[in-house]
Amino acid sequence: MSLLMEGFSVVMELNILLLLAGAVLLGIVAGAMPGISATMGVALLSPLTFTMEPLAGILSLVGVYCGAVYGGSLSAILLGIPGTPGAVATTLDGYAMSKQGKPGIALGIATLSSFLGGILSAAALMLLSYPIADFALAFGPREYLALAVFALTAMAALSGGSFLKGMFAGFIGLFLAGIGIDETYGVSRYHFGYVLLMGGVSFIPVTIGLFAIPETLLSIERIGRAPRRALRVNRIIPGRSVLARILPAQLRSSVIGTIVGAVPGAGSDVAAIVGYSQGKHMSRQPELFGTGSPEGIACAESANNAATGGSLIPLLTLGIPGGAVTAIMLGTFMTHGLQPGPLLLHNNAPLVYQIFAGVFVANILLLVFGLSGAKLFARVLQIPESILTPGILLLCVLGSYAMRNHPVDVLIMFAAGMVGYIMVKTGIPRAPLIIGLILGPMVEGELARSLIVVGGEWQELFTPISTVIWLLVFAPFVAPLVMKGVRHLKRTIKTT
Amino acid sequence: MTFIHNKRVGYTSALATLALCVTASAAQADNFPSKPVELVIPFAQGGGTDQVGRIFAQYAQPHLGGDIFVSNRTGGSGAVGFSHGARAKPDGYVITMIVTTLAAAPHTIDGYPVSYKDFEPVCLLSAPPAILAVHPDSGIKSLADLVKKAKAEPGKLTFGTAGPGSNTHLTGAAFATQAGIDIRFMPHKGSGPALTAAYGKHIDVAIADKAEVTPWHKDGRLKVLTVFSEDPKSGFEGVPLASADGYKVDIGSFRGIGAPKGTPAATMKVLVDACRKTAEDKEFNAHMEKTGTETYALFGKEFGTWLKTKHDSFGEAVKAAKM
Repeated sequence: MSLLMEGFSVVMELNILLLLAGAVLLGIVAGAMPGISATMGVALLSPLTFTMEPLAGILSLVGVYCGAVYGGSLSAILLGIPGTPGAVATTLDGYAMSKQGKPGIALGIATLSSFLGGILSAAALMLLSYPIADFALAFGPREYLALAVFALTAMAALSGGSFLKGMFAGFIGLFLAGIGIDETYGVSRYHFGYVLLMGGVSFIPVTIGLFAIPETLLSIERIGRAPRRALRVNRIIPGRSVLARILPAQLRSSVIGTIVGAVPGAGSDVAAIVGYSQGKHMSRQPELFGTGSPEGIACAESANNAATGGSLIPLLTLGIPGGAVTAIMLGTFMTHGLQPGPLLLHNNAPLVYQIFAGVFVANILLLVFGLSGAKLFARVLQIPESILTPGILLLCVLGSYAMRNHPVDVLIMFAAGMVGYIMVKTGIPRAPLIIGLILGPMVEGELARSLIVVGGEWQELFTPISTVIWLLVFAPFVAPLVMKGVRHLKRTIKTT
Repeated sequence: MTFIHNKRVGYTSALATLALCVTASAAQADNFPSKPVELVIPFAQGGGTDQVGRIFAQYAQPHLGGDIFVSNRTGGSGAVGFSHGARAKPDGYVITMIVTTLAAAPHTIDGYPVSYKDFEPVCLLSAPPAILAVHPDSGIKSLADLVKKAKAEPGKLTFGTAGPGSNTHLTGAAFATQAGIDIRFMPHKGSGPALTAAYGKHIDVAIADKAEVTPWHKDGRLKVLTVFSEDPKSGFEGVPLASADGYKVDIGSFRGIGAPKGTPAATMKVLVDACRKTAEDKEFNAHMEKTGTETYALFGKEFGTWLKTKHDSFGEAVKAAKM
């Protein structure tokens, strides 16, 4: 305990605190820009940390990471464009709520949920590092396969009105994910000789195009019609009844996010998807999801921020980076001559506790910035559409180009935008397409690896952990049938 | 704000501009670099190639006497970045990280658009050999143990690689052929996940580069069985070399710098010299070592010959692996 107190006192030193605050703010801005993901933000900053003290360097990356994952929700809520892949689920309810004239409340819920997810995952990082890390290590191909399929079922939850249309969109996403060189056997598919397609369709330009371009086209449709009602953001903190209603969702999503984050290979994007779809399954008002439900925002935002703390668990305790962001952090540790892992926890306990404290403080800073800045952020909506729309278009082009400095990604973005516009007009939901695109390679790769492991013995696909996850996959389908059967049986017994 | 009223003036000025351009390009080598140099990294931020590229860029700037900025042009198993670097204007302002994939992919991927022949060799920075690692609890103590076990259960042992056609996969295939064993390959997204899988006991053996396994070897989380190298200096203390056990496999990874084919000799000299000074820079070497990579440098033509040998040996390995 004294180590933790010491850790806090070091982090609260003015220079460290200012650095962390700057990093969180930078992260929020980067995350809110469509196309700049948390990974890119951290990667761009990492060379600067080489010359810093180890703690300062690592904490500035932690700050950017937490800030960016949260920042993605800002553009999701205000503009309907997920700033980071982790904010796709937030877009559904956040933007809907914003259009209903309550952008402040939506931002407030997102901020509170992000904060709660972040803080709880930081607590888990501190208290449960060892047990969770060992659990994460038990995930092999068969467990990942089950997890990926479990996440895929979110397509249904994100379908909105029509299940069939949602599945249609989801399978388009899965098909797009199949383009390029497959990672198991190196076969190249559907690239028609274009080098750029060999690497597959990257989901950043598709996400930007799919969500942003239709919005700009719709705003052009509105030209000449009655001007938009000026929004006034009075409230940010939602009422007590709303807070009480979303708390269970926030807590559940925080746990889901922490676990998904701790599993190597799954990050805040998968966490948000799983958190959102589980939230819908468990909710008392699942029909409100996708129409501006406070619970929906809470589920997505708690889960994706909880993944930040979760992903640090295997990094610090086992030296295993769970994703791209933590891989960069691992590099930073190593440039400072530190090797994360069991030895670091024993030999360098003060530093480890300072990092724990830093994660806590970063999340508190996030709350402060989020709540105090919400009114300022929401001003974006007061910009006349004639100025805002071209601005968004510019950001879309920049964001899709910045990904890998190639103009083809800009074309992909516009093409996705055309498709997105048609989808909006025909009522086909867009989120399942993104889910398919993100999870497709994961499902395929893990399936191939699982099959190599079991070597034809399909029963071996079911390990204890994977069996539990498979049961969760099928429960929502089977449960209603079983209930119906039970009721039918009861009635037959009664009548005879 | 001068408008051209007279046609003749227009032509003259156009000619003058053209002449200016010609002299400028001729003089360019003399004052190279007069603007920032782009270092193309064909792989994503945060990976091993990115790390080495960024460290190189940082330390090479003073030796080159100009700014170097890094651009990650990813996709198509490196094809996007390599093609961009190879097809850039050959004036030295676009240089590229050329790595193992450039030697392997032309053999493994149909229609891979670029090879070492599209580059002027500047320098080699590192060339870590491949290794085999197992979990300490596996009971496998040596290469001989492993071969014995693989022969006892043909087709059972799983070898984790960094992906199909990667040098780790080809190393494993060449080793299996020479040892006469039947094994299963399990592709991963890079060496890191393969090592993690070995540590989580999801695979029996991980094939990885020495640089990537160093931290795992140091704290004993994984046991390194062998190093595929003939040079004892590039091995680990106490770990026998594969060559000592009679295996001849030399398909390690490498990372170096290339310029577009046709870059003028004078510009090449500036680049190679800057690279040489960087490779001798103590701070650069210390930084590289901290990330687990030892500097192994070759320059200019020497690197070019080395590259050709690598390209050919990958070709043979691919044939042996029957991909």
